[in-house]
Amino acid sequence: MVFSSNAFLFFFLPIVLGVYYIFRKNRTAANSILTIFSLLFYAWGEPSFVFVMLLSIFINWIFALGIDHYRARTRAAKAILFASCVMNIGLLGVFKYTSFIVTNVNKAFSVSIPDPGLALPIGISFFTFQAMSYVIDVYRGKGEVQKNFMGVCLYISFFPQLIAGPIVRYQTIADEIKNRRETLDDFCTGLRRFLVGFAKKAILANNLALVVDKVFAYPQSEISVALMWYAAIAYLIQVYYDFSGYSDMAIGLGRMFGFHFLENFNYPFLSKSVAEFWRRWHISLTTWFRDYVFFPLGGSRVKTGRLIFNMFVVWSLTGLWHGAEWTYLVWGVGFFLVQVIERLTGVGKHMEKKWYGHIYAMFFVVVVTVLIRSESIGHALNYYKAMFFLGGLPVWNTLTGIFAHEYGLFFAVSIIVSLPVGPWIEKKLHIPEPVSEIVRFLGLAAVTVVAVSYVIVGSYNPFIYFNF
Amino acid sequence: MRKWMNRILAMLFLLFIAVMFLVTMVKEGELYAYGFFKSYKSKLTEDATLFDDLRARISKLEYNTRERLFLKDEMRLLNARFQKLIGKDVYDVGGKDTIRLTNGAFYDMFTQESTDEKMLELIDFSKKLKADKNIDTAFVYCHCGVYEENLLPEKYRVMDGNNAFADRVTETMAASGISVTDSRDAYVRANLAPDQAIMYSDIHWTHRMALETAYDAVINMNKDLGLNLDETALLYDRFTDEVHEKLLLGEIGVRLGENIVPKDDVHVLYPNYETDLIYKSEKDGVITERAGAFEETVVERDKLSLDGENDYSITAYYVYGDYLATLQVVNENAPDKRVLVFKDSYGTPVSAFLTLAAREVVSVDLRSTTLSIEEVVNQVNPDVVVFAYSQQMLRKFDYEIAE
Repeated sequence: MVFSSNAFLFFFLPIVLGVYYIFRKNRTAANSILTIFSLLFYAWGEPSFVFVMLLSIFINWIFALGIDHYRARTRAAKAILFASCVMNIGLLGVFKYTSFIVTNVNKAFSVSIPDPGLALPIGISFFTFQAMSYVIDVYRGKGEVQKNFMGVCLYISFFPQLIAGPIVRYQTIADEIKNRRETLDDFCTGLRRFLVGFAKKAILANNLALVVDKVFAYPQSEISVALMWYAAIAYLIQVYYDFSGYSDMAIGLGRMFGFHFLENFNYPFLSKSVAEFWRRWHISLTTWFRDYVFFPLGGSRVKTGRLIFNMFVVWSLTGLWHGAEWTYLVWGVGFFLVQVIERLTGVGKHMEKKWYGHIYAMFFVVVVTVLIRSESIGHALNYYKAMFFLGGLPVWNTLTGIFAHEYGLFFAVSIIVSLPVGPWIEKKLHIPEPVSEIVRFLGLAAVTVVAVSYVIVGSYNPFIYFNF
Repeated sequence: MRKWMNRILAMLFLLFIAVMFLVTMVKEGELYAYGFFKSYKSKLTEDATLFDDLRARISKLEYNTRERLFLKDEMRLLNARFQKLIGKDVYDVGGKDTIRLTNGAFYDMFTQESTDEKMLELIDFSKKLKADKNIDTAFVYCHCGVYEENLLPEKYRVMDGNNAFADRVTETMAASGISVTDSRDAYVRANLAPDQAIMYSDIHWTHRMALETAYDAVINMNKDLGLNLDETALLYDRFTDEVHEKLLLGEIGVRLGENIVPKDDVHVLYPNYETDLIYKSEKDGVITERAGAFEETVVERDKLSLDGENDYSITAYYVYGDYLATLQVVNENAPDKRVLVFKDSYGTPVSAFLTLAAREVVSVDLRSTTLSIEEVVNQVNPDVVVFAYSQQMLRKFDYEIAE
């Protein structure tokens, strides 16, 4: 089930809120209710995958209990931790990477190993990383072990962050699983945040998706260089609004139930270097890799060669985490290369002090993101050739005019809203707080109505997280 | 200040979703329950597993949450007005690109995606049918919307794949030995104007266009397959044309609202010569039987009735029958041939008119039966199998069917 659907908005949400708040005083009952609804939420997409997730949760629960039990015997605890990492990575590997590996082995060695064609459980990358976070945090003593299976089950399967993140670290909400306070103000603030994310997804991301999906589907001979750039930029912004919209909704929903998740985006398009971009984009993923992969490998306080190796591992994994395709791997390696250059030459620091750093960072991010929208490396290369005037395409054509006319407004608004323009205007014009609050209230109410209308009429509403 | 604004916003939103939920359940709860406990089975095969069962129930629920929701129509109109307000020419409502044609009609543009898979399946089936049972196949291509290029605003022509797709389908089918009738040829032959062929507010064609196409199909089947069906029975001059002015607000009209889309006249066509038919229809286990003239049996006048309090009908296109119903019509006055028609909503009036040209016509929408195409053919044992399809039926996606 996705948040931007009638099923969620008008059926699941009122029911889960109603039932939860009836039983909220009894923490065990409230947690059980959230867990059961979370499993229903997940089953809505594909019922059989619930068992995959439950199996993963159960095994990780046992591993964490084992670690807690053998805490005094470090080697035993370490062995259990190692086994849990192998199991989690193995589970992810089987479902997500088997086809990729088999296909490439067949190609490389001219053999024909049958591809089992396993379907990818929705959100497996997210819940696997959360499960690993649970076991590792228990091992590190950063969160109390959950004796009760329901506690782990709730942490990993909690529906707001289950299928599209953010990746909530166990240490972030370990305490809130048992001891949280739901307050009216938290609830209302959470709901407001949910509506902001909902509008981002239903109005901006989905309309930009129309541009992107249509342009990428056209034969290249029918489009123009300008349209290719338009679609490439629109794709980056679409992913931003899709992802940050989901994160806003997840953070908001979490808060409505008394959970406080960390932020996942921080105006990434303000970045002046690629490294800064990744400090502002999908923060829960980058910090996860930093804390659970980069630091254990030695971090940055090592010799240059080792640092480059550590960064290579992290960014290759980041690419593969997003999808089991060469395009994702090259995308990750692309970010690795440019960040190594930024770091070793000082270009990154230099750019972060200059206005043209914005152009540099966004240019690179837009260009490299084309990779993950392309079906193959070859497709991406053809796209690049055309983007850089090597495909013999016109600079502008009729189709470009149509897309500019039909979606230009969404495109422009998307760019403006992705920047802190509102606070800037309020500050510059010295708008009194009550006025700005009323304007924000009316604006959010209006966009919510429009967003709801888009969802109810069944407008284009792609779900781009199946690969993640 | 923000605290109170948040509280008001939360209260309004919670009230809204609670009302949406409760009113929907009160008004539509029975249909939701029917879908979940009964009609979901139409999506199951014989060897369905427990998970298939669950998936089918979820799918029905999902379908109902999309289609049966309080305020859905109002929200559609609001959304269309928003799109008009921001100056869009191409309305994106319900996942379709809808544009106003130069004659004022509205039209859903078609993507250029490849749809060869379903077309090739149909061709393979046709060859198998000929080889195994010596039964011929005819394909009646029911064109959607734009019959004349200048109807589509010039700069948008590049976005529409309708004609290119139609060319590919009809050429490939014909090259495979299937008797092909292209409604675009019928349009030219009958010398129709665009308004006589396409609706202003609906995705469907006019009944006149369906009649002219049925006439061409009979001529082509006689010529290509030597069937000797009665083509004179379908001459437009031999029909009474009963006009119901501004009666229909079709699918696009409902989507965008009658303030944006003009309503359509509905032409009910029936023979001005004497007919005597035995008619039987079956839908969801309900069997209806009638005997008498074409206009008393095949024509379902109740479809012309107004939609509740509104001054328009939303069902008048279906005056020749519900597209999901299976029909069997016997016409003792027509040549002794049995025709099996696989049809969609476009093909429904075509199959209705074919009842005047052949002794027996059985028409089936494959989306509403659990039988396979082979099973239907074995049951009917026809002289010819006709596929009367618009291009949507040959596209990759599968339709979900209203209950």
